Amino acid sequence: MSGSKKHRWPVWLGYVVAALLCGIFTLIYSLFAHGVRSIYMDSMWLYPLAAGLVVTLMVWRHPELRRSRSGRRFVSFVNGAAALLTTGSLLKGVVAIAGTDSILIWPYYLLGFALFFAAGVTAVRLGKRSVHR
Amino acid sequence: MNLIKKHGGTVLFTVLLLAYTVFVLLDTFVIPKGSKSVETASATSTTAAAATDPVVTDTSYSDGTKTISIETAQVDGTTYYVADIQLTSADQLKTAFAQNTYGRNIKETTSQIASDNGAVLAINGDYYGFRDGGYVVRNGTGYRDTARSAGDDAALVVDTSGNFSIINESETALSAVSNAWQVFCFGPALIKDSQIVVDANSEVDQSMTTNPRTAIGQVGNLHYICVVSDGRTDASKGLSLLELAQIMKDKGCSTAYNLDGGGSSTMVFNGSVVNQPTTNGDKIQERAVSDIVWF
Repeated sequence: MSGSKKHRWPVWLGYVVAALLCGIFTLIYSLFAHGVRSIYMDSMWLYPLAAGLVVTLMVWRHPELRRSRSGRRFVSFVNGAAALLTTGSLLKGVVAIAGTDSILIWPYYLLGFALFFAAGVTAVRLGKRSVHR
Repeated sequence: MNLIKKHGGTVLFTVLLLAYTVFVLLDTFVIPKGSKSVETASATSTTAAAATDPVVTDTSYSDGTKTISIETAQVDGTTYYVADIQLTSADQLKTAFAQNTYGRNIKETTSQIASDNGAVLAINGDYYGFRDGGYVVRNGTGYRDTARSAGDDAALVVDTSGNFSIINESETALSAVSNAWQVFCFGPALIKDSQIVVDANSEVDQSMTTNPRTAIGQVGNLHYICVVSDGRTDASKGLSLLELAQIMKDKGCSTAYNLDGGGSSTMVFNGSVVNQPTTNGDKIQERAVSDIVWF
């Protein structure tokens, strides 16, 4: 058994499941919202899907990504950004459907895009390192 | 120990995200926020006629200073209630806050606020406490002068003579509105200059369906119409804004304005709820609101 490989799910699977859950939540919520919809909630499934696309492409381009510390940091930044933007979008949708607003929602977007920017910087550094090798 | 080292950051991030999200939800929907007055205007000084012993029936009230009659009607399978109000003084068109306090997330049912103020007739107001923006003037006192953005900014002004007018908050500062007795911030305007100003596509925010509605309009000098419709039930689907505007026009309103609807729509007459307010889906129950209009 010592030679058996540790099983790994495909990278994209978790993101697709998250996007599906977002879509299902939106559908269920709309059933109780008397036809009131919000573009923020309707589009929140895009964030995990976009994150999955970015991470999958990076892993495909740089297979060593999963093993290196910088690679794991990149994935953490992308995941964190996706979590913040999805949650912010969900909350924005909930308050919009209720007919109100909250100034406390903007930090989700600010931090989300900041993490996404940090992921981009990390990805550029990873790319440069690969070229040098 | 290795597991904590490996996933500690993720766990901490998740806990912080959840905690902040719960805080945002509580702040938006639950935590009451204190009262504040931004400006004080002089109250109306009109004089009411002498009151006589009130004559009250199930659908009418008259006491020499005000006459109110309630009519129930149907349009396209939706039941709606029309209150025809004639006053002798503009200061008989009054408003009241839940718990007599201005602020966010301070709520009571329309019937409770009506009872606290001895109202003969009351309808729900604009639920100002659900938003941070929109002008709020009540009984001559200004509470909020934050304008909403263009496109969603029609406010109803009731002046100290009891006359209605519509302003756009993005174009008219509250300080420029003279003799404001009441200012409501919901909308949209239904009728201006005796013309319907909504169409079949008009809606409140993203809602594109029929709903319970509340509207107030002016027919003539100290003569008003309040309409509340049922909705969201099998027995009564609700009204579109265009249908509501048409009802107000048919009743002779020269100016009419849409107040908060949906589960908030409530009419109280002589201590009893007249309509079938819906809360939490199609459950027949009054929703707690920020404010009422009462006579």
